[in-house]
Amino acid sequence: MISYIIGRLLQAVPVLALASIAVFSVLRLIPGDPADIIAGEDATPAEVEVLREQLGLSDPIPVQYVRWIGELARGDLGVSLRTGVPVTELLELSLPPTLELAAASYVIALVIGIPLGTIAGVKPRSLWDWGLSLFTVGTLGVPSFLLGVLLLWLFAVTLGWLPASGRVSPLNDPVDSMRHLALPAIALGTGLAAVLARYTRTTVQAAMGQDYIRTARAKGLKDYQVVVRHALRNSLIPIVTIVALQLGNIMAGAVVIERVFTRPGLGRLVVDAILNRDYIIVQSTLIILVVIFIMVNLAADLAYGLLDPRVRRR
Amino acid sequence: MSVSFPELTYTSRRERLVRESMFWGSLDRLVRNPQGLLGLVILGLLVGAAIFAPLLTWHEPNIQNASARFMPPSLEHPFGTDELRRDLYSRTLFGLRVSLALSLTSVTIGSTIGIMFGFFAGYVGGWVDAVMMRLIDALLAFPGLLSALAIVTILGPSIRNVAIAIAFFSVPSFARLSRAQMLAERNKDYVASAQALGAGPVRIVFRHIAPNAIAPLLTQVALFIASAVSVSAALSFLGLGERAPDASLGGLINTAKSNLQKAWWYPTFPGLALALLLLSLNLLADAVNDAINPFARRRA
Amino acid sequence: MKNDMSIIQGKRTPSRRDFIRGASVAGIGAAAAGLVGCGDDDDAENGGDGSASPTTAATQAPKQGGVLRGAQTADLNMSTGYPFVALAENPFINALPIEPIIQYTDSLTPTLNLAERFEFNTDRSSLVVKLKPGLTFHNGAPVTADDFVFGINLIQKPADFGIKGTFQLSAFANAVKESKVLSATEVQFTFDKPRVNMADFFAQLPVVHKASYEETKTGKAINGTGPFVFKKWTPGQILTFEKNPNWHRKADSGGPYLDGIEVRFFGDQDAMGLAYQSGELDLLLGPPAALAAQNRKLTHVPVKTGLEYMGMNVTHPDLVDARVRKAIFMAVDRPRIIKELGEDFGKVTCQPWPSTSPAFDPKLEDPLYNPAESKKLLAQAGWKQTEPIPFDHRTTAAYVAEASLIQQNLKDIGIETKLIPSDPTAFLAILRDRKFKGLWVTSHAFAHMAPLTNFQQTLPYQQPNMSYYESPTYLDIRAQLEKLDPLSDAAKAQYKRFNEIWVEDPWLVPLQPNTGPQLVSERVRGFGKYLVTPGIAKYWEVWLA
Repeated sequence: MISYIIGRLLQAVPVLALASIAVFSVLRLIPGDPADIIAGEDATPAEVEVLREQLGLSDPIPVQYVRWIGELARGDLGVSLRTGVPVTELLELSLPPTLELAAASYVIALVIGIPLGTIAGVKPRSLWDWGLSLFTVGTLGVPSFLLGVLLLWLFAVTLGWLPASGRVSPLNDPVDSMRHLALPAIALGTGLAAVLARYTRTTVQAAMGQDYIRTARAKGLKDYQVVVRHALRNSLIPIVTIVALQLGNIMAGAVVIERVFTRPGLGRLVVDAILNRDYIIVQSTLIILVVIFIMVNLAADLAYGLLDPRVRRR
Repeated sequence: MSVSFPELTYTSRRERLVRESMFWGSLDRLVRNPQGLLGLVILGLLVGAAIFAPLLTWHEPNIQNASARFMPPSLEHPFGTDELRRDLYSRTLFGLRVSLALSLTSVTIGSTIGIMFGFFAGYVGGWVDAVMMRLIDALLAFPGLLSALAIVTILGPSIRNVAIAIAFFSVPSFARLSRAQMLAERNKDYVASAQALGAGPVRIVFRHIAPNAIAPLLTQVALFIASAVSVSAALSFLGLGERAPDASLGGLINTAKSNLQKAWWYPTFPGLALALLLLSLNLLADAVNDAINPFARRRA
Repeated sequence: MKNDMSIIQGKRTPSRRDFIRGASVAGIGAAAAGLVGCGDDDDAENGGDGSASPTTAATQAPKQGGVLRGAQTADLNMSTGYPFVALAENPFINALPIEPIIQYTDSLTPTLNLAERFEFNTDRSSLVVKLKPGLTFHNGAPVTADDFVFGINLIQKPADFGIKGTFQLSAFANAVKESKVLSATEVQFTFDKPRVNMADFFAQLPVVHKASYEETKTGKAINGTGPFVFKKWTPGQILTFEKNPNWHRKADSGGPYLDGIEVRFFGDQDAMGLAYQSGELDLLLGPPAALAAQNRKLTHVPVKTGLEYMGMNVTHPDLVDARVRKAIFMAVDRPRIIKELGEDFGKVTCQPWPSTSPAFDPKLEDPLYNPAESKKLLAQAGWKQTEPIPFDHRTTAAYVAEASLIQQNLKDIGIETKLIPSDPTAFLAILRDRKFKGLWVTSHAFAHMAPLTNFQQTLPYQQPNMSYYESPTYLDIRAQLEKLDPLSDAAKAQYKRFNEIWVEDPWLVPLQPNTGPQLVSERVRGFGKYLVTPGIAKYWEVWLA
């Protein structure tokens, strides 16, 4: 057991290292010299040199990399090229809203997706199954920005029930915070719900065909007990993995949803930074994202190992 | 090496094909599955519409010669006209063409590279496998849309660069999946017997392992094509899609959302085309898996 | 045009308006309503009230209080020379917290703002400025001549202040050879030679507190003298202003009435429109045209100060021949751009000059749209094309539509183009580096003051410019105008020459006026009057019902 955990942790290290190298290269892959671009056309060569020193671009690459890793370790994520605001400050402002959005979307996805997928898995080819397909298409077939605009149009403009933009911190006003979260979370969560429902359906359907289900039935357990206690429990493992893997889709979805609903957040920060060529922000937020990802996947892996003893023995 | 069993006679050539050939057998199963059939039909219609777009339309997609802007659907303009007096019917069909071409090519390239990568790593094993997989894990840690966004920003907005970006972020997923499949099949008996018979690794991988491993990979291909269309739509939303005046489905919907109140037809028809495309791909994804599986299992 | 350019000629004659202002400052204590009435008298000549869409309440008394909720799409840029460079991303911070020493309030006659004395010598080679006593910045520091001169020094040598950027006012700033500070509030400027249009410079140059400029660079503080005080900026999210209780023109105008102004940044124009429609916003300076069209009664269109134009690189092999360029000029369907893309908010125009400018030519308000003529010109020039001409544009929806429309116009006369989109940041870099290869669309301002100012300050007219246009006629016109009074008949003759080459040997193709509709919500009152220079709305007259 311990060796499994340690083994997995050790494996994460080279992954982190390689990912950091990949992120590091982003800045240096730009066509042209970043110092030139940032300094502008009217800068004298002397000014460009000064800027290059400032950005540390004149040292050999390995030195630059090591220095950057050192800065990261100290928690120095650099300063925005455009505004001079420290990246840590920007992250403090952007991380909580995105976490709220992700959490709310996951809640919606789990609450809708798991039950829907379970029923469809237990009764394949039934009306529920077709309903699930319809739901999948409805949510996946409509691009999220269109869905967002339609929701806004319906609920904010026409009905006036919910706000059209902005974010309120739950610490300031929990109710208003949820009102601002409702539409974005629905827009992001329904797509996720469809994905979760489909995976749940597949795994539950497979589980239902297993022998232990027949045994459970033979024991006299009622239907829903069979499903929940046995089929669903065994399906949880792949579902946990899928939920962790969907983090990437959440981030991608947040990029669009935060823009459509004008919420502050990580997605918006990264996209604006990429479009503004603010490489320091891009570099630092990417590495944070990547670290989070790897950690979450590691946790899922470990959970997988904990939940399914067979995995550990491999 | 054919032994004949008198009890097992086929009633027709078709039946023999279906029972013995993996390809035709899977196809047969696919068509018998109502979801698979629906998916195939819809996709076929869409691909046909895209290929024959010039023949099926009577206006050019980029010419601004309609009599007015924002005209509702009519016989002359079945899907109406847009803000620059262009025919939306032909723009939708040509946009479908662009979206299909983009997603099919990018995913084909990405999946092929990824599968080669994964099969190689899985077959060879050892430290080569370990290194390659760590690399793949590192790349998988980047959200797809963000990598695509970064690549398109660096290279400039155009369909070609969007395709490159999508191919790029498809590779790691396919590599990981195909490696998993390879690992599952690698230690099975038929591989050992093939090796004992003196077959080389390439032959083993492509002739024996691949057919068994292919089912979930094809499912993944279908799903990735669907997600490629979505990613390119998101890029259009961010202003980094195709070059004007060309249309893509995502681009059309993006412009349409600015004109929702004026022109209900503008998002409706391209949106329907997009939804049908994604629907058919999703249906096929599951159905293909169901169709090939019996054949895969049998050969183990 | 009631246009007393006496100040430019070095004499100062009081105008009726100054008298009124003087009277109220002397302590008559006229009620705010009364002063608003005074302002209305000048409506006819008010340079900024271009559109015929008055706010519904005629002369209600303004209410104090309330926060105006504004929106913009791009984020602020304060690190490349703000406030001494005018950037499109800074509409609110350009307008609310900062002021120049003189203004063109409703005509091109300067009115004194921070200065109480603004006198040129007879040959206009030097200028004496005396600041009003007792003026303070938002942080309480007194306004001194040093602060005033600091801006000029920064524009002349930005590197000395750690700034990298290009400044529209460079030509003007470099004309100032010496700034002699005579006392805490008095400065004497000596120019490199007699300069006819220096008032235009001082009407645009803001005065900010020198000692706290470092904070301005990092977006932490702006210490100007304007009616609203910069409170906070959260990058990418929100920008807030509060009323300046000590505004030096408060007694004068009664305002500002608003408690504050709050500006939110929207990444998506449609999201901004939906927020407006659901009642969350009061002011959109750049609304989507369709939204403005839906709410025509709530829009105001400022008088144009320049053009949205298509630039042409005259060194591109296909564009060298002036006949080809004239053909392109006449091929653009300007009425369609105004009617379809602009939702009929502007007026068709072919010149950068507004009607108040001495260079204005009524004949250039015709559409000059004649594709048949274009085809003839191309035939004359022996038009043959091997490759499509590259055509750069920004990726924002409005520019994409405009570029597509023009592409179709050009195609109709036989010119093939290839559209090249760039996101706004990349586009600006290409613009600044003058690397457009063929055609491009963008816009410019600054054509509403002395025409010579336009030629010196506005990028596409400068020498050198992005079109690499160096016609000897144009260079001669510029040289001549430097010696002539902008209103004189001799100058007008030069303007006539310019307007001729503008069409016969063009390097810029006019598309539409550079100002579009500005949209307010139903509770906004008093919005819709603009200063001529700086070209901002009179936010101190705005109140909420």
